[in-house]
Amino acid sequence: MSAITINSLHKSYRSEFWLKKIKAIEDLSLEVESGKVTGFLGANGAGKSTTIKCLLGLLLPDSGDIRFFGDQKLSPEVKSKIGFLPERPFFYEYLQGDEFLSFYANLSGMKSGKSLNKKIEELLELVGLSHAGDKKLREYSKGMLQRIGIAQAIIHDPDLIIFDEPMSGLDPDGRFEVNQIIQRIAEQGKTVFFSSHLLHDVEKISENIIILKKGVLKYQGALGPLLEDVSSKFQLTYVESGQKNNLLLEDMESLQSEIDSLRKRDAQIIDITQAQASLEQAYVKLNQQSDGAL
Amino acid sequence: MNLQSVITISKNSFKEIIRDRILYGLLLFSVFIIGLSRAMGGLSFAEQERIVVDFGLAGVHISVVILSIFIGSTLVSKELDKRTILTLLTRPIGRAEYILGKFFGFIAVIALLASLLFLVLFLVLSLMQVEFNLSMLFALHGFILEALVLVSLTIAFGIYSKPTLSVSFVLGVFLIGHWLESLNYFSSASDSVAFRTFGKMINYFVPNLEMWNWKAQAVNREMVATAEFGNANLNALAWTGLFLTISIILFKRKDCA
Repeated sequence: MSAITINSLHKSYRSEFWLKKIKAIEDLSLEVESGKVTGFLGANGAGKSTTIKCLLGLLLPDSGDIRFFGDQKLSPEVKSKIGFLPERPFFYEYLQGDEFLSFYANLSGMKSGKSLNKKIEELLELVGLSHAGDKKLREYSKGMLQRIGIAQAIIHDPDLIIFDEPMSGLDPDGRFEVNQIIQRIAEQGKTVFFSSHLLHDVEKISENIIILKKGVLKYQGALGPLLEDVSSKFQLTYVESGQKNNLLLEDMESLQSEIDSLRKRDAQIIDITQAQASLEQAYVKLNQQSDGAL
Repeated sequence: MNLQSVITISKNSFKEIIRDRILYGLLLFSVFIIGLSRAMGGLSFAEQERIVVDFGLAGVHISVVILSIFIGSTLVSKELDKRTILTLLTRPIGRAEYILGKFFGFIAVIALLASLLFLVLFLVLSLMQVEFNLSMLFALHGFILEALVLVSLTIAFGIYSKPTLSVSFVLGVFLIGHWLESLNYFSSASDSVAFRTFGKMINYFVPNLEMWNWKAQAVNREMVATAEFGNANLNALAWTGLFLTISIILFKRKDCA
């Protein structure tokens, strides 16, 4: 079952009332698999945040269909199963950390009391803010705000958690901590859908990838095939006439023909390795291809 | 409509304004005005009580209006600008519940401020050994009815316009609303058809804010007639309902980016 299904989503907007409309999302269809971590990639302005805001009903799409958990439209019941952290979150700075979490828990239908207080304590510990529960949010650093933001997104134990640029603006320590938290959430079998333009972080924690460029879908699927597609170079090591040799081959076809040729020559193949491409290489290649197509 | 969500948002809205320093500045200013009314009263030997009541109630009225319009204009726009609304609206609450929650939370603050200031005025009058005047409670009630209308109107304007523009709009409505009776009188006596039509039409768009002004009755120790009181309450609720409905319709069509 898909946690999110989008069909033919269109969204355009005017930056100023009198200006022409700009297309932010164009005929976007995608699926987010349940129980997996899906990275949502794209450059700044690609339409990631717009897509997420359309999903959550914050922006009203021009057209298109959005379903959750199979075939359900966005409703208060569906919203109670979703947690969300926006990009560069800004929260009510006059609230204390624990008050803030209690407010969001109440909004999600959780009653105040001992069990909620215990849940808040646990969550503050999970996000490393046990020491700051009684501090006002105006005293929090950027990393602390990001962490309390994650806590509010998961306080009601949602099935689907959506993060918009959760690592944006954080220092390496902060990014590492947020990565760890996302991994811990994913280990509980939750669906995590998060946007980012930090490819290295996405590669570390995502099972599936969705790539968007200028509001148009460029790739969706597992991370593996995307990397394999780019990992074109093979290193073949063989021994012929007592001599060890290395060959670098560009693609699978040349590798196969070289293997056939070596067998005919009675050479001994010792090792074949494929150079592991990074998501960054795959992303750049995909963009270059789509630029060519355009 | 989930009443619990409305209550939760109201409580937070109340907390937000109560913890805002601007409120305390306004409170000090109002206490100063009421204190000044005591000094003003000293200028007259015979009309001392009337002057203190009139001046003191005017102080409470000004504070309620300033709070309603100036803080009211930022009630929703601040959440849109600071994007705190993004996490709020993704919770299982509707946009109507959000608007109603903000409205009721703010009205609770206004009612609290007005009651506190009224208490200060009451203390000033007690020190002057003036007997409690029940009709002053009508004046206080009138201020809160006016605040209901002004706040709901400010919220409606604030959804699509910046706070400064909302303040200008609502101040305009406030001035016209208090001069509506004069405007009606002059327009009905005018030779100009256009002015007469304008005078008639404006009654459909601008509430008559003098309807809730019972300061004169308080000064003269007169009770407000039951029919007038009932009619004024119904009118206030109708205008508030209308402006809140408009706010909700506009907010439901609003992109929260």
